[in-house]
Amino acid sequence: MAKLELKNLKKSYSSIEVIHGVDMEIQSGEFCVFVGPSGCGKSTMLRMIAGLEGITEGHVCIDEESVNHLPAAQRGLAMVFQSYALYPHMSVRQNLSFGLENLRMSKSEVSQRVGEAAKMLQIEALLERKPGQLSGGQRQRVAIGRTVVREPKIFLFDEPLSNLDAELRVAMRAEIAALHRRLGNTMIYVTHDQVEAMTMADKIAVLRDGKVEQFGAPLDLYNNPANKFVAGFIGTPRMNFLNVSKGESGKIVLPGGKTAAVPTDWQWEGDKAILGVRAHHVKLDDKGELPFQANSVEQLGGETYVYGDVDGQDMTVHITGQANVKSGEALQLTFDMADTHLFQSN
Amino acid sequence: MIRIWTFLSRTQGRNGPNWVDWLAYGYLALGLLVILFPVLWLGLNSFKSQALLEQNDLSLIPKDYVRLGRASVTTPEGKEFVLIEGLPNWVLDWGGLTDSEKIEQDVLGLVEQYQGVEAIALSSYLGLSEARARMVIQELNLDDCLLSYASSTPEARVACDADTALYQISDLEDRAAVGGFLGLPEYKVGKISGQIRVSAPDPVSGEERIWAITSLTSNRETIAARALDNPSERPVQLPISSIVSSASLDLRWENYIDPLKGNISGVNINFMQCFTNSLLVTVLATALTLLINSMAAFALSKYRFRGQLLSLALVLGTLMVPPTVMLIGVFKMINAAGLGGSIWGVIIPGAATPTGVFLLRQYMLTIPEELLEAARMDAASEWKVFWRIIIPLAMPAIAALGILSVIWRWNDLILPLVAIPTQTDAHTLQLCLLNLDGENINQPHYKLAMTMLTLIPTTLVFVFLQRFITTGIASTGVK
Repeated sequence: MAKLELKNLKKSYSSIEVIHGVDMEIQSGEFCVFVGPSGCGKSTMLRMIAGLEGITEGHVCIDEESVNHLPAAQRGLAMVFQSYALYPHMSVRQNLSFGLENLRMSKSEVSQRVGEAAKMLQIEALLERKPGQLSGGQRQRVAIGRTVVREPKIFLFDEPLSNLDAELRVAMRAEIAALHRRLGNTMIYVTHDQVEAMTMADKIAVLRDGKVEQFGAPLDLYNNPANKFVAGFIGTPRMNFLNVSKGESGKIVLPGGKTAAVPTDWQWEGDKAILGVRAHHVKLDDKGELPFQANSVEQLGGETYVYGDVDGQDMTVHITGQANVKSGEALQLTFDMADTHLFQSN
Repeated sequence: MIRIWTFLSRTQGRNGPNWVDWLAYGYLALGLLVILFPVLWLGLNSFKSQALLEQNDLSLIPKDYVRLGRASVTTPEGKEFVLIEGLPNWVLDWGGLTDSEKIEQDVLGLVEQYQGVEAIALSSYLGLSEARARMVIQELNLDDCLLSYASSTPEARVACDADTALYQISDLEDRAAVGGFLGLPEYKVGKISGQIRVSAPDPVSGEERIWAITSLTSNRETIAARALDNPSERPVQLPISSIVSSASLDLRWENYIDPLKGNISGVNINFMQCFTNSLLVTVLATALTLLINSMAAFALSKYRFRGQLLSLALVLGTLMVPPTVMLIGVFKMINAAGLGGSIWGVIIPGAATPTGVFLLRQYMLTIPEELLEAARMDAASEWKVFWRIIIPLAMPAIAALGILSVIWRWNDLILPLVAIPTQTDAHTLQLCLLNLDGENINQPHYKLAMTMLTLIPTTLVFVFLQRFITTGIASTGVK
């Protein structure tokens, strides 16, 4: 259990800066997810915390103490790698005990901890096997087991589920979340999958190009995205974006020509803006403000997705239950202005 | 056994072998023969007797012909040849025996079994004549001047009157012994040489006779032979095709035992010592080579540091310089370090090999970086990472280098020749073999046997280490 602080963290490779001064505070016991598109620097940041990458500027502090000078071996952290990185020449038991032996722990304690971890992760039957004889899911459990036995201050996960098939991914996701609840340790989890982030995190940090776009609880990010990038990244289906313009007396001119009132805290910068509205906040309504052309319909039984466009701009509509909509139909949509997000277009 | 047979008798053709099978198995058999035959020849020939090898016998099987001893004995009646049957091997090999081996033989007992000219030839050859002559001179109370006759001046010889003295000796053998001792030309006895006993029809009379010939290998169509029943008659040219010889299998284990016990006449080489030295050099040098090379390879493949590429280029650059060019430099270096004359002078200079560093580095590049990072996260020190992760995973390459290193060190002649040329007790097997090829020694049987001995360890190493090469363990754990 430990509190982690990043203070103005920067990383450059020769002259190219890839992490541009990140400040972040992760409280003890929090499950924090770094999410972002590939190449955004989330893995680099994780490796800087782990001590596997050098820190160009700034500080990584664990429990108020800078650990910049400590090598990875002495930071007391444990990491699950994307490829699992199990030692192929050692049995599962040796894989689990290797880290403990390095800490010069007594044999009895090592075997006790390995036994407990194996029991918790249900890999007791696999202890004498080599990693090559395990399936993907089993390797994943061993990799997690290897971190659990260490009882580290902070768990680090580097895209641990990306090598699993979809079904197993959902199951392992639940298991990691359960593990966090049981152990209560601070965990940092890197993923590019926002669903993983939403389902598991206490706090999400959305990264883009080496900068933190927004840091907060999952529903905060969902409900109050700080910018268009976060709004588009968090939530499935993706938030709909419509280009709108400034009308008379500051009103919004929607595609199709109708107008809507602006939120009270809105200040126009220029006369263009982007209106974001989630798929489940738009409704079919004959008297609606938006003309909608349905292009394809997905009937899932319990819910329906209608994909189409509003005046040439893509729009997805989510309808609870079954709806009598056919592709090619021209419809009208309505929405509540309170559910929308308005972003500056730049 | 059955499994091996099913494996070997597999065919492509469904109903018995087809032409592909015949071709494939034929090619395999030919290849096997081409590789195996020279080794087989060497192995079997190393058991041949010295006499057989000196006759340039190239046959595969070590065999023993029925042999005879031939000698020329001169008496006042004239020169006659004698062929002695039934001699034990040690008599025929007498010239190659060491002094201690000569003492072990029951020489007197053997000579007693023979009489007349045969006894004269044997006792002269086996060195009994002088003692017998002194005894006879003393017993018959002959003039004492006879004892120093051989080294006296011609005037003293005339005064001594050896003829009268000899006339007093009635026994033929005694007289021959004294005559030989006095160095008189009419009592000259030649050495006994080994002959092969063959039977062939007499070219003149056509009657079947027993003959003695020097060797069976001849590049002419006929061979000179003496008849056993009348050895003093002129040698007869026998056509080789008519000769019938009888031979039996004869494995000379002493070809191996003698050099290993240090019992080689004429040269002081103990092959057991050579073998131990070679073993020590090979094992220590290989262990050192593997350790140093794998550490260098680890640094060059897994660490990033200033001058990394330059170091690699330097290491590889030494590959371009032929080792013979550096020989004098190596010699001076060994002596400057005080290693000359000890086996450490062979072990240490050869420990770091550029080939080994390069081989291991290339292999270690394929070990995923994440494994090392995982180990570092597992609180492993760099030393632990090297020992517990890198070394086990690079085992196939290390085994390959180990095999190469053992073969290099074991077969190396140049470096020991430079480092320990004069220190005979530090000589390696290859140097000892070289010493066997001296100016006054010709012992092809020992040479062949010891050459065979040098082949054994490298073969064993390959048999035991090759399975490491075939198991690629590094590719299994990480996707």
